[in-house]
This record gives sequence, C-alpha cells and structure tokens, in this order.
Amino acid sequence: MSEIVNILLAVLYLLVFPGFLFLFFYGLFCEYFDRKLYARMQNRVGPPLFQPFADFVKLLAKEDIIPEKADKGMFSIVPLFAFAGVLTAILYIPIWRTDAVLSFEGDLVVVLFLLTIPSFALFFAGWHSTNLFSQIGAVRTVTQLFGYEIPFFFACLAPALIMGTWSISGILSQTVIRPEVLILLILAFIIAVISLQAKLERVPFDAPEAETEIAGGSLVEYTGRRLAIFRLMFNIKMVICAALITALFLGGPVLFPAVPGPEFIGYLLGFVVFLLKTLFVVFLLTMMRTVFARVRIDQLLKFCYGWLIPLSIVQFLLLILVRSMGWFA
Amino acid sequence: MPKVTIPVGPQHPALKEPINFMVSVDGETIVDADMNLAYSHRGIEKLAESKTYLQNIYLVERICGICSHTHTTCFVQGVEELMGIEVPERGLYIRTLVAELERIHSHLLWTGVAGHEIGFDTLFMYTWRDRELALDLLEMITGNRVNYGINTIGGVRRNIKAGMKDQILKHIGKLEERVQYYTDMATTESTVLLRAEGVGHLPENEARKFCAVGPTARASNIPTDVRKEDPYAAYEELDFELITSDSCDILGRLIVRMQEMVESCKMARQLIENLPSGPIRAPMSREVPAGEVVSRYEAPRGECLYYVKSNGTFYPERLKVRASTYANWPAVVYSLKGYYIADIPLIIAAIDPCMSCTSRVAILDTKDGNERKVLDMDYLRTYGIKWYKEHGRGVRRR
Amino acid sequence: MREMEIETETGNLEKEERIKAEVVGKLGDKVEKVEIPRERRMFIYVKRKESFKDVVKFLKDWLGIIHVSAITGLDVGDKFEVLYHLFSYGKEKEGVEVTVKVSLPKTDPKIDSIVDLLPGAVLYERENHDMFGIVPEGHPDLRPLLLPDDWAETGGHPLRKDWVEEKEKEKEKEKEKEGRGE
Repeated sequence: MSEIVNILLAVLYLLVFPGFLFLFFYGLFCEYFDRKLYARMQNRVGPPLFQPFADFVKLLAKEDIIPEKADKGMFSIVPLFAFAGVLTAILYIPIWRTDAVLSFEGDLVVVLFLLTIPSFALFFAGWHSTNLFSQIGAVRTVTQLFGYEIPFFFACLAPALIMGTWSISGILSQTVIRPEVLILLILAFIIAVISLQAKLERVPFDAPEAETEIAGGSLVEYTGRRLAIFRLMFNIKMVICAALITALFLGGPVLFPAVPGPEFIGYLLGFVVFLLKTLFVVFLLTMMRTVFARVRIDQLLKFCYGWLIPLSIVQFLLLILVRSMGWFA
Repeated sequence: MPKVTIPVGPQHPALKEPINFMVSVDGETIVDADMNLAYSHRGIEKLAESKTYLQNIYLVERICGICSHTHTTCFVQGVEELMGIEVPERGLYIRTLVAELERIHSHLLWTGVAGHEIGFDTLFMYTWRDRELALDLLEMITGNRVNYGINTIGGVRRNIKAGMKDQILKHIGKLEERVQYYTDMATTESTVLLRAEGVGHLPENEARKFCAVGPTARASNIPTDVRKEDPYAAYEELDFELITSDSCDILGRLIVRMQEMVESCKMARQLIENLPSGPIRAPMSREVPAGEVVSRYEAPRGECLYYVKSNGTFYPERLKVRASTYANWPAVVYSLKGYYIADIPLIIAAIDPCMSCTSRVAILDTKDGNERKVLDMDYLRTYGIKWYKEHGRGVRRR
Repeated sequence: MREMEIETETGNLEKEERIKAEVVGKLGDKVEKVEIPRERRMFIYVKRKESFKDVVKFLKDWLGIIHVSAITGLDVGDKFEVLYHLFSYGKEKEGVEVTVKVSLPKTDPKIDSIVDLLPGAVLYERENHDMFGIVPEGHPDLRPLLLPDDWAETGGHPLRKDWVEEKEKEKEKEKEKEGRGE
C-alpha cells in the first residue's frame, strides 16, 4: 500500500509539483518577468503577462520542418533529451523547506551534471542540423562550455567545501545553523551569477546563438514543436539554475529570522521566499543583459580564464584557510 | 573546422536590406570575402530618362528612405545650375536645415543599428526613441517624416513659420544633450569598446586607395567632406568643424558620427538663428537648356554624386546617381579580412549601408526552366491565387 | 563694378586654371580641350581612347588625384562617352571635381581599365560593363554586378538608348501576331 503511495507521490513530484507543471508555469512567468523588466529598462512597454504562454502555444501549432539532410533521429530526440535532463534536476533542489524531494550525499554533482546536458543537446542539435550557421553555433556552444563550466563548478562547490557536505539539502541545513558563513561566499556568488549568464547563453555571452551574426546558431533549423520545447527548456533551465544559486548562496526558502508557527505556514512562507529569491537572481541576469553588448567568443574565453577561474581559486584558498583555522565553525 | 564559405545574406538577420557576402572562413577567422549586389535593383536611372525634371525630383526622393533629402537636393542643385537659377537665401537655409536634421536622424539610427549588431539592444532602443525628436522636427518643417518632398527646382516648397523657431531650438537643445550622453556611454562602456576598438581596421592609405567616402573615410583620418571642400547650399556661411579620427577602426567611425551630430546641432541652431527673410523659391521654367553638370552633396553616409545631362527638352538625357554606400563597398571587403565571424555584422554596418541607394537599375525576372520570363504584377497576383488554391490545405487564413 | 567681378572670378578659378595649365602643358596633344564651367568643376576631353589612360596616370602621378567618385556611361547616338569623375582632395573650398571624358565607337566599345591605377574604380567599371557593354580591358573580374547573375548575353545592356525591355518586345510581337490574325 505504502509503496503505491510512494510511487504516486513520486509521479506527483515529477509531473505536478515541483516538477513539470510548476516549472512550466514558473518558467514562462520568469520569461515574462525577464522580458518585461528588459523592456522597461529600455524604455519600452514590454509584453503582457500571458505573452510567453501565447508564444509557446503558437509555436506548438506551427509547421514542423526537419531539414532533408539532417539526422532525423537525433534532430527529433535532442530537445526531449535536454528537457528531461533539466526537469530531473529540480527534484534535488529544496523549494519549500530545507529538504529537497530527493537528496543524497553528492547530489550537488548530479545537479551540476544534469545542467550541462542542455549545452550538449544544443551542440548535437546544431551539428546534426547540417546547416553552416548551426554548425558554427554548435562549435561555439562547446567552446563556450569549456569557458564557463569550470568557474561555475568551482563557485558551486565552494559552499560544499565550507559546509562539509556534498548534498544541496545538507548545505542548506548547515546554512540555517550558521548563516554568517554566507558572507564568505559573496565572491563565489558573483562568479556563479556571471558564469550562469554564459551558461544560459544570454547577452553579453550569447555568441553561440548571436542572432545578428549566425542567425540564431544551433537552433536555426528548428521550428514548431521542437523549437517550443527548446525554448521551454531554456526557461526551465533558467529557473533551476536560479533555484540552485538561491539554495547555495542565498539560503534557499529559508527566511531569516525564522517565523514561528504551524508547519504548513512555514512551508508556504518558504515557498514565497523561494520565489522572491529566484526572481532576484533573474533580475540580476536581466540587468546584465541590459547593460552590456555581446562579447566575442575569444573574448569570453579570455575573460573566463583570465578572471573568473583565478578568482574562484582565490575563493577556494580563502575557504581552505577559514576551515583550517576553525573560524566560523 | 575546415575552411568553409558561409553566405551572409541576401537574407540575414544582421542585414536590414538584401546584399550577399560570400565569406570564406578558417575556423572563426575570415580569410576572404566576395560580394554580390543589387538584389533590390529598381531601374531608376532608366526610368528617369522618361520623366520630366519635376517628376524626377519625386522619383529620386524614393531612392532611399533614410537620406531622401540627399538625393533631391543633389539632383535639384544640378538642375538649377543647368538652368542658371539663383536660389533665394532663405530657400537655401531651409534646405540646409532639413539636410542637417536628416543627418542627425540618420546617425542616430545608425548608432542604434550598430548597437543591435553587437547585441546591445538597450542602445538601440534609446537612440531610436531620441531619433523621434529629429523626426518630429522634420515632420513639422516639411509635413513628412521620411520622404520630405520639400525640395523643388529653384528652392523649397514650404516655409518656416515664426512659431516654429522656438520649438526647433528646444528640440535641438534636447538632442544635443542626448547625443552627448550617447557619446559618453558608447566610448566608455567596456563591452562596446571590446567589440569596436581595433576592429575593421582601414588604414588611411587603403581608405584612399579604395576611394572611401564620408564618415568611413574621415574615421581613417582623411579630412574629406563635400560641405567643406565643395560647399553647396548654405554651408559656406556656416561655422562648423570637420571631424576626423585617426583610430581607423569602428570605434573611430562611431566617434566621428557622434561628433558630427554635435556639429549638426550647432549648424541647425545657426541656421535657425540667422534665417534670412525673403522668398523661398525662384520662379522656374519647365525647359532646361542643353548641357551637363556634376552635382555633389555630403550625405550622412558620405559623398553623393549626380551627373545630369540635358538635351534641351523637358526630359533629361541621362541621370547618373552614385550614392555614398556604393563607394564604400570595396573598403568593407578589405576591412573584413582577418577578423572574426562575430565582427561581420558590425563591420558591414559600420559604413551605414543602404542597399537601395546602391542598386538602382534592374528588372524583375525569374528563371523558369531554360526560358527567361519577366514577371509583372498581374502575373504574380494570379500565380499567388493559383498557388493558394492548390496548396490551400494547411495554409490557414486569418 | 564689372572689373571687380572679373577679378573675383579669376581669383576663385586659380586652382582650376593651374590644373588646366599643367594638363594642357604636359599632355598637349592628348587632350582635346579643357573646360571650366564653374568653380571646382572641370571637364577634360580626351582626344583618343588609346591615350586616355595616360591622362589618368598623369592626373594621379603629377597632381595626386586618386579619388574616383564615379564613372558614368553615356549613349550619344553613334558612340559611347565615358565620364570619369575624379576628385582632387583639398582644404576648405579647394576640392576640384575633374571629369575626364572619352568617347568610344559603338562597334568596338573597349577601353583600358584603370583598376590597376585606381583600385576604387573596380565597381564602377563593372557597372558600366553591365549597363552599356563597355568592356574595361584588363579588369580582373567582370561578372555581372548590378544585373542578375543569369542575365543572358542576349539580354542586352539596359541603359543603352536602343534597349527595349523584354516585356515590351513580347507585347510588340503579340501585336504583330494579332495584326496578322486579323
């Protein structure tokens, strides 16, 4: 009996909350939030609330074209592959309390791994489209991957180092016990947000899909349903990355100081806090998009290897020093 | 990646109008470039031979949407010289005022497009908002936002009324302030510098060799400006500086254009404050005496040249148009080489290309088997109706 | 009053007269005449098309005129005229537009290319090749520039005065047919 309940619960988690349904709507809302904010900062009116949803539905209804020379199997399966990858990652990230739906020692690495899947999916999508622009985009995607992924990993592993656990839920429970440690992680937070912008391929790091240069890069041949899934995947990826950063550096759904009261109110409050904090991260990402121009791919690599990686090593050394001296324990 | 040739255009998001560049790249580096022009060829030079001089003013106005005043002024100047008409001072002043406002709006438009090419959409949105100030003024003075229709042989068609002066001065003040702001922003913002500095290098000797004109030449340190060298309209009486830059790159072209807008604001102010009284146009006859004339004009994009030959009738014998973009293409092809794919849009955009200006003579035709066919509008219409009947399913109507 | 006017005029035309003197002095037999219609404008009429390149070379080497503004083709009945609009850079109000005019017989519309002297002329020569069929000999690349790539040899050169649009031709043929039918 309880097994059936467990299975049903797992399905519920995966498909409704915090899985597919929640992510679908929250992802679209984040896109709206991002676009609206971007528009307001540029002195425009911006889209109405349901615009992203309308775009999604409209794309679903559009004609679906597979290029004649493309690898049909890869071309069709890649969007779903990427989509499944990001959906799974949410299960390990705490959303309404310090514990996530699933957690085990080392789930941080799993989440980081799952979040790189979309980049590879983009590479395969671009490469198997057999279009010149998409192939250039694919090569750029992988080139960029080697730039931002290292500082992003370093930055995300910094909390694990200082908290002494490799589980996101574990890090969060440690954060509740000693929130002052977060001050040490400011540098890692900044590095994480910057490399996240590159991970999401947004201005100023959107060389792999630069519209004015290579006409959209990897996705240039995608239309209709498959493009809709890719776009939704990007939105959800943004939400999950923001959630991950929230959990690691901003205390996740925890409100400081904690409000006493019944458990479910705490959960509700935690959820609201989670939404606000992720929106804050999205706000930071939008700000970057507004005030910068696109950098070239070589300039991006130079920036990552010249600044982000050395800085994240400095952060690591700092944390090792703190641990060995026994401060903040 | 091996050496490949990628087509940029004729349909490409970076290009607002059709042109085709076949760019050979080695990895991300451009090794060679070739171009193909005239996708929007309209047969204007041929058409002009069958229209009267007065009709031709309106024809050449439609060569370009952005610099329509350029073309009419250049044409009208030539015809006036052929007829020996002395244009009244006030007419010349109004003509020059419209020309300078056009330059401001064109340069602001360019700044926005350049911002968009490097993914800096915020700059694009801001400059295009402020460009409205210039467009509002143009609308107030001429009655139109784009094709002003203010020039006529012997002068201008609309006068500046007394009440307009304050409004014009007010808007020019605002424009000056905004232009200053963009100059500061574009020359200090780090990512813009990353993309513009040292990119699209065009040394002075190469610019001279390829006969570059306008801001492209001036950014390569060539002090050439028709307004100075060969003054027309009211420019002889205006006090303004010739802007050059010795950086020879895209940043230089950006700065030159920014500074030119400041100068244009200055000129517009002088023109309004010293506007002479009197008539705005001289009487003209419809007949033009035989002769030939070369007329030059400094368009926002550079030197524009008209050659008009008349044979004593109502119709010109030959009208030759050389718009400024056309002169800059060889320089673009040169400055593409050695840079990255990522730089293509910006390098092309840096000359402020205007394809319609470039291509003026063409005939619509398609290849149908081995038979060449000229498709007229009726044919296309019936073809379209037929096509939709056959492919009706799946094509939804609103 | 009249004297003053003449004075100012000659004063203004100083640089044009200087170029004229140079051209006439050094190239005397190659140049038919030099006209100065107004300030900053000059027309140089070249006698024979064979010596035309020497004139351009002289203008380039001796007078430093290296800017090609445009090249205009003209169809004047029995022959073509080609106008090379060159420009001499100058300081304020000093620039001079020098137009070199040369005529070609319609039966043999060939002329020396000046691309090796002035590379900026590359597109203008191609344009005239398209529009008039004037062949610049020695030009590196004579693919159609303004005309479509598949423009047939028989398609003709649109800016020639005797050129008729194909649609017009078809109409005429149809008319003829109708005429016969009746």
